Parts: sequence; structure tokens; C-alpha cells
Amino acid sequence: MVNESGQLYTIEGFAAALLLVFTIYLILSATNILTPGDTHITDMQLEQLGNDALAMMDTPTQYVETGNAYTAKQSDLEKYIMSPTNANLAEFNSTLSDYLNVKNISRDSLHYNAIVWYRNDVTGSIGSYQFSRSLPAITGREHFVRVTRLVTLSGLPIVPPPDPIFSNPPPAIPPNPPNPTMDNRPQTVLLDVTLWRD
Amino acid sequence: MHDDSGQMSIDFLIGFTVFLIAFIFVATLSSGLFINLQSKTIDYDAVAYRTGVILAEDPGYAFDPTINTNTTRWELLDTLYIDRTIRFGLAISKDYPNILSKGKVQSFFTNGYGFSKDDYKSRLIFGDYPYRFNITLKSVGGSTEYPTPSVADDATYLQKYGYIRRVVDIKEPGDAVFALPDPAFATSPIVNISIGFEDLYDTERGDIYRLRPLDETIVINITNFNGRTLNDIKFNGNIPPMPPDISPTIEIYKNTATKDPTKRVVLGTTGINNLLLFIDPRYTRQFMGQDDSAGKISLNLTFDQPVVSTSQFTYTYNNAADTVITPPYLVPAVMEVKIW
Repeated sequence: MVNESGQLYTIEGFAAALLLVFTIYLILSATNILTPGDTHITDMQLEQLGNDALAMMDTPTQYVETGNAYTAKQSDLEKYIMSPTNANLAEFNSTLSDYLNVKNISRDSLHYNAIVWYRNDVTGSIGSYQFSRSLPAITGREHFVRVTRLVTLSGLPIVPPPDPIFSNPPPAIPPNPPNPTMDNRPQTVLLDVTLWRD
Repeated sequence: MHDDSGQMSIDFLIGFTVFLIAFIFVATLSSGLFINLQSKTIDYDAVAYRTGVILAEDPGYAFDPTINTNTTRWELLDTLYIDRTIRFGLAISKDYPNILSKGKVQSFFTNGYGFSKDDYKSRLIFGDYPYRFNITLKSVGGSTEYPTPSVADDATYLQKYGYIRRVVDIKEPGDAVFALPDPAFATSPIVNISIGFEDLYDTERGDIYRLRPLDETIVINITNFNGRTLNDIKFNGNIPPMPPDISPTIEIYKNTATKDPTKRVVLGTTGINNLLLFIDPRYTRQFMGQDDSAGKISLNLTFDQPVVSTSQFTYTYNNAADTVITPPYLVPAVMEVKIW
């Protein structure tokens, strides 16, 4: 019962005080949860898979002692980038597709688009070129993830082939760096791969 | 207050306002009240990810009573001591994540090796919650040895499960093929094979591409016997156990390219045209200690008739006229972990 003095009776006062204290305790023990959506776990799984695939492609399957500086101790990934022939690009496509999609039962449906970034030492500019993509030939789809790997091109600089009159058969090394605007010097390029699931 | 004005007192309004603000806060933040309770779906993915990391990037951990020290070679423990395994892991070492040891893979995925389902949970998944698991390994083209039998708690899993897939390389130890000369030029019935640890300990190759005889099985294939009988075998002067006492030892098979139990060789076995030997690293370690940078294995096989000239076969990384070496190589594979 309340009167004009503005005071609460003792029991009601205690009850109100307990209610307030308990409410404050609930507020302080509660935490705010941000829910940006359910894609972060799927993104993490795709990123892990993509990083693993590039890392394993950049690991030589065997130790090769013979051959010149272009072929010795070279990973498959470096070979594909250094010498982007049709055969090598097809092999890159099938290898990366297998690494991304092979499962114990059935097969996944992951697609990719790969771009190589490099730096021109003379101009200081950054360049890029389309390296490979899986079919259908699109550059991406929501929701995609990006994985990258720095690949050291240890086969550069490429020594120009000797006079063709005196070379029989012609040397197996390519006459130019992988891309016409790329420097012919030891360098590391960035392989930028976007992945998405259909 | 009972009056006719219909107005509420100031203290009631203030008290009610405070209460209402507090109630609105609680209603807004009530979703966070349950944060300490278990969320199954998110937890399964986290556990699956952690399990995948432990398998692919960690070599494992155990206590070896025979050398009284901790070790990562849990797969080489004597069967009496496999319970001393503290944590599973398949990588050859912490320095080379995603490069798996074939010996660890075989021990982990072999049902009946000695580990129960509870052993897998306590040494790999951890935690008090009774997780169920399904772990598989499948090669990416080429090798038919994988898929290995999967390790599973329950073959049928629920619709919602935590999942991770890792791409790995499995290190195969390679082998050596020694071809005997034409029997017309044979002068000795003793085939001697020398395996020098210094020859194999190539720091340029690193642990990924060199043969580690104290960790990996040494595979030797000797061809062109022309129907001989094995009379004796000595490993640094010791006779390895023959069937039925077979582990750990040197497993020998005749006239086959794979481990065929029907073609197992014992002393006195006749009709040998080719010999396939598997030297178990646990057997090697009994005589060679812990250091794989020094030491030498001398393997002598004695037959009933001359089979070889005076030259000795040497296991290195180089080919010769009568020797073809396949150094260690990597086989790509995909490992899947499902947790529910």
C-alpha cells in the first residue's frame, strides 16, 4: 500500500529490490551474439581444402636430381606455371579438380578460377593474367572463397636457346617467360584461386 | 493509492520505468543466456576440424617403455605397449604437415590392430561427449592400395554431422630391385645386400624424400633365381623369426609382386624365381638403435646353389647395371573426417 510520502512498505520494497537485482544479474551474465549467417563454417572448410590442394600440388612427388635448373626439384605447380602449354594446363585442370572433388563416396561439385599475379621490376607495376578455370567458364559464383599461394619460379631466368643451326634436337626449355610481359628473372608469383560450390 | 484523480505516483512511475527498461534489455539479450549450453551442430564441425588437424599435421605421441622416453613413433610400439599411445597422428613429423607416414596410416586404419573404438575417441577426438566418428582415406587416382578400410564408430551417420576434408600426400618408401646375373656366371650361393645408413641419410633430400630405415619398411626385390631353395638368412648375423613366429621380422615372399600369404617363404622353401623382402622397421630397431644417420645392415641370403658372382648389392639412391632403385615418392590422397 502506498501513501503520499512516496515510501514503499518493507516487504514490497524487498521484493522490488530483489527483482531489480536479479534482473541486473541476468543482463550482466547474458552476452550479445552476432549471427552473420551460416556460411562461415562452409567457407572455412573450402579454404582449408583449397590451401591443402595448392600446397600438395606445390610439393614435388619425387626428388629429382637429374636435369637442368629448369626441371630439377620442381613441383608440378611450378611446372604448370612456368610452361603453360595445352598439355600442362589440361593436367593442372584435372589435378586441381581431382584434389578438390574426390571423396570416398561420390564426387563433390567444386569449381575454380585461377589467376597469376606478378610484378614487373622495370616499371614497378603489378600485372596478372588468366591462368586456368574449370568449366563452365565463369569467374565465380556466390558464395566463393579465395585461396592463394606464392609460387617461386626457380626456372627463371630462362637461358635463350643456342643457335638453332647447331641444336639438334632443340632444347626443351621454353624461349620466353610464362607471360610475354613478365620479367625474365628469378621471381615469385601469386597464384590466386577462387573456389565455389555449385 | 486510492483517489479519484487517476494519476499514478512518481515513485511508482520511476520504479515501473526502471523495471520495464530492465525487462526490455533481458528480452533483447535472452538469446545469449543459453551460450553456455552445448550447441551440437557448431561443435561437431569444430571437433571434425580439430581431428583433421591432429591427423594430417601431427605425428602423434606415445611413451616407449623399451627406451624409456617419449616418442612420435607410436606405430612402432611393441604390441604389449600400444596402450602407451597418448595421441594419434599420421604426419611423418611436425615439420612436414600433410605428408603422411605409410606405417602410421596402416596402423591407424587397420581394424584389429589392437585399438578399440574407445581408444580412437580417447586418443584422437578427446572430450567427455560421446562423439561418433567416421574417418576415410582415398587416393586421388593411381594407387589402388587406398581406400583403406575406414575407421568408423558407426557406419550410418546422421543427416547433420561435422565434416572436414583434407588433401594429403602419403609417403611410399620405394623399393630396390636387384637382378641376379646369368646362372652360368654365378660362383657363390650367398647373396649379400648392404644397406648403409650414411648412404640413405641424405640431408639434401630431407625427411620427405629419403628412406628412413628406422621408421619405414625397406622393400627389396631380388629377381632371376631360376628355381632355387633358400637355406639360410642372416641380418647382421642374426636369424630373423620365421613363420609361425612372425612379428616383428623380415617378411619374405616368392614369385609375387605383392604380399601374398600363400607364397610366404621359410627356410627350405624351394622353387624360388623371385624374392620379395619387407624389412619391418621394428625389427631393424632391435639391432640398429635410434640413430638412422650411421650404421649398416648386412643381409645375407644363402641358397642351395651358386646364384651370384662375388659382387655385393648396395641399397643407395643410384641405379646400376643390376640395380633399379625407386626412391621414396608421394601419393596424393583425400582424408575425410565425419563427427556426430
